[in-house]
Amino acid sequence: MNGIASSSLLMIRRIFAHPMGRVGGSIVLFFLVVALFVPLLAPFDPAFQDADNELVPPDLTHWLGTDQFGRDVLSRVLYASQAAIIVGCTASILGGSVGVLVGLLAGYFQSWVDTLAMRAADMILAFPGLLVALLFVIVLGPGLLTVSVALAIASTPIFARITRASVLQIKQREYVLAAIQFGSPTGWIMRQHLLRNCASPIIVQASLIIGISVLAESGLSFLGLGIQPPTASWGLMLNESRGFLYDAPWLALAPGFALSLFLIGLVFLSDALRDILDVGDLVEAGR
Amino acid sequence: MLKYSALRILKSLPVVLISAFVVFSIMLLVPGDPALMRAGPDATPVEVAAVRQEMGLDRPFVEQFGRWFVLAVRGDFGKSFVSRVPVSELIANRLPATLQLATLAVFVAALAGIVSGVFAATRARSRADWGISVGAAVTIGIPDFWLGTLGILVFAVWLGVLPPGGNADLFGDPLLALQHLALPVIALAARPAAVLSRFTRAAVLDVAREEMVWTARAKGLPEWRVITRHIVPNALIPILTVLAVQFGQMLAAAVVVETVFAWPGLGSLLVGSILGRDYSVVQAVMLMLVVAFILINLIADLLYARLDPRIRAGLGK
Repeated sequence: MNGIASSSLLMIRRIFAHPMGRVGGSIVLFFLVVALFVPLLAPFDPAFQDADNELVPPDLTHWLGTDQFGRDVLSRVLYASQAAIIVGCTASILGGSVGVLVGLLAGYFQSWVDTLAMRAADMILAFPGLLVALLFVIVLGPGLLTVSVALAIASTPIFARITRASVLQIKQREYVLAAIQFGSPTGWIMRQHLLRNCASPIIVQASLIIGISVLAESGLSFLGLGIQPPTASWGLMLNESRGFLYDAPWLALAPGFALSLFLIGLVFLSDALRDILDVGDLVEAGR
Repeated sequence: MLKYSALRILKSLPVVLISAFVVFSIMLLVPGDPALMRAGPDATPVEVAAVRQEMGLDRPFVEQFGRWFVLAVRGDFGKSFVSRVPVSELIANRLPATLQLATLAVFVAALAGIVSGVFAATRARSRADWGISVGAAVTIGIPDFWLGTLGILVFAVWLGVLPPGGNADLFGDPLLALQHLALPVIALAARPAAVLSRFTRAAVLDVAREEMVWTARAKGLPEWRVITRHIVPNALIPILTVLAVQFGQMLAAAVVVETVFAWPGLGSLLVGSILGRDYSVVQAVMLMLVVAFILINLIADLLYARLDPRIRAGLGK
């Protein structure tokens, strides 16, 4: 455990030493802190409807104004960072765990396991990611959980392919061949040699998937097919702002700005990670 | 080339069939009884049974799928649950608007992405290169629907120079149509252009390191000639693949962007049908989008093989 803690610390230090990593890392860290401490930071209850103060422009009490129900926009924008981080991390961690496991098994055992896994991956990748998520939402109904799981499923084949490609390369190296010759247990070889050595592209892909999933969630919520009211989501807030562009432009500006800032931070962070971990072309370009 | 093309086309057929099956299964999996929905809330059980029989819902699932698929291949997707209009008619009305939007957006994205990428690569590590790189990274982070909303806010609400949404007849009044197209095209093209710009820069720098470029310079070709004759054509091959992937993504992104601009295309038809539980339309539009996506990837692969003989040789093994 100590090894993981010290290598994570080293990783964070290297991210902040990288010019793009410093910008991206700071932005992402800012949103993480906001999501964790939002009950302390938000000036109002995000769901509290103040009928006397509907569509108030930004002022000293409501820094970013209020919406059509008199809810404080700043509080809702801050709370929405929670939904974004939950969706991004679930898609990345859940899709990553399943995908990496499948890729590891497919790459190591090859034969029919490989064929089956890769055909299944091709199948999911035959649909654009957003449409996979849409299909799931149509069947299971919208909501935070459905959207998270749908995006995890959409990202699983990407992780599987990358892991498989790395495993196929690493499997040919002498130390792995030697371990197999010595009769080391298969599980041990996978954990000790294969998984550790294909960690870099997986980490970079995970950072990309967080961004792609947050983008997809906000897109679905914008269509009214993602996170449902009264939960705060940037995409949903943008959807609700559409009827008020002429009278209350702040309703569209605030959530869009927060969403874009978070996504830009993630792009910068994954660019920096790609540089630091030197993974080059292994990671698929923005799906 | 012929053998490669035949193999590649054959390989995509099962993908089309299975995705059609997945899309068709929506009907089975969604909550609620389609026959009940079609018959309406006041229908008697006998009427519902009649509708069920008429829709073929009393048949085994695989048979239902087979019938639906065969008819779909002929362009017959049945009738809308809600409006009772043939689905093919709804699609025919909406398809041209989506095609206009998507083609123009691909063109804009390719032009902006490739030109800025080549420009950045030829001035690698300069201020201009740095500016383009940061600009592209920022653009990738901005969601298309917010860019569109911002566009409406600035150019329609505040400046009043462009319409906030809808479309116009491209052949009747081209100028008005272009005004309607401007914001949706930019919203749709910005992200793919940025992805393409970054990729082009990397691809050009990659080719520029190759020996044939040294040779070209050594035989005294002027630098612009080296770039246009040797570097860019070779870099274009991988760029084409990325462009195709981005085009496919654009089809999905159009679903959201069309909603922002109330653009009367397939995307807004799909969203409206999902919200209205009009599943025969959802199935049809979904199938069309997926088939288009598969087709684009197929064409890209074939073009790629045409341009790079090494790919053809690889598949033969």
